[in-house]
Amino acid sequence: MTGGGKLPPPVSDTPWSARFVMQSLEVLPVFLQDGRVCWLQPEHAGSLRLGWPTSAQPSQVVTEALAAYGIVPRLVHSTSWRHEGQQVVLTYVAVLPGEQAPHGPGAPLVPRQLGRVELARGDATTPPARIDVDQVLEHALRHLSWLAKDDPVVAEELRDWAGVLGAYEPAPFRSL
Amino acid sequence: MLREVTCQCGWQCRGTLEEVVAQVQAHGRDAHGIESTREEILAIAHPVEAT
Repeated sequence: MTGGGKLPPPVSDTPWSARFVMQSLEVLPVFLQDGRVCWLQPEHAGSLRLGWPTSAQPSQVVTEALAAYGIVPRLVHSTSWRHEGQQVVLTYVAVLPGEQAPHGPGAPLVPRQLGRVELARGDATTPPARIDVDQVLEHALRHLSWLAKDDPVVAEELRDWAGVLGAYEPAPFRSL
Repeated sequence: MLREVTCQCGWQCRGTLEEVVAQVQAHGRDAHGIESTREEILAIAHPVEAT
């Protein structure tokens, strides 16, 4: 996005408003590169955030926003929500065909390799004090791992992810 | 009335019209090497309700 081009159109047309109960969507685009999970982070933000009109289907808002980047996801799924500041953030994970992910320098969405992190944990009646995007991604991958075994549509779409998602399965009886 | 602009790179600004114009022009120049006019910025700046 560097160079003497024209100012690109905004990624979201919905401005912030105090009257929205749940006004923010977070999109975490993930893809496979050389057998490893990567995700796309905006160059100048922690994650891709979108306004959410009250009349719009959130999954449609997500796919339309990704289209602005030339991306057509093969799967979008709401995976978690959290309270942040004065808003509720609903997170969608979007699985991309690997070849669609931007690889060149200067793209507004930057590929990042995903590492493993501990989930954010709260108390029995209170949420975690802090939730990082990496932890939201960890939760999203664990969610996809479960869906790939439980949901036939997800299983079909993520056939080539089976090996990677196996590493995200819960291990309640792990030997110590 | 406040205005807001969200760039494709995730950068966001909110403020009066003049503040937004100045911030968007600076961001476009510094981060993307793009020169933008006031009219171009007006076209993408959305009104925001003040609290």
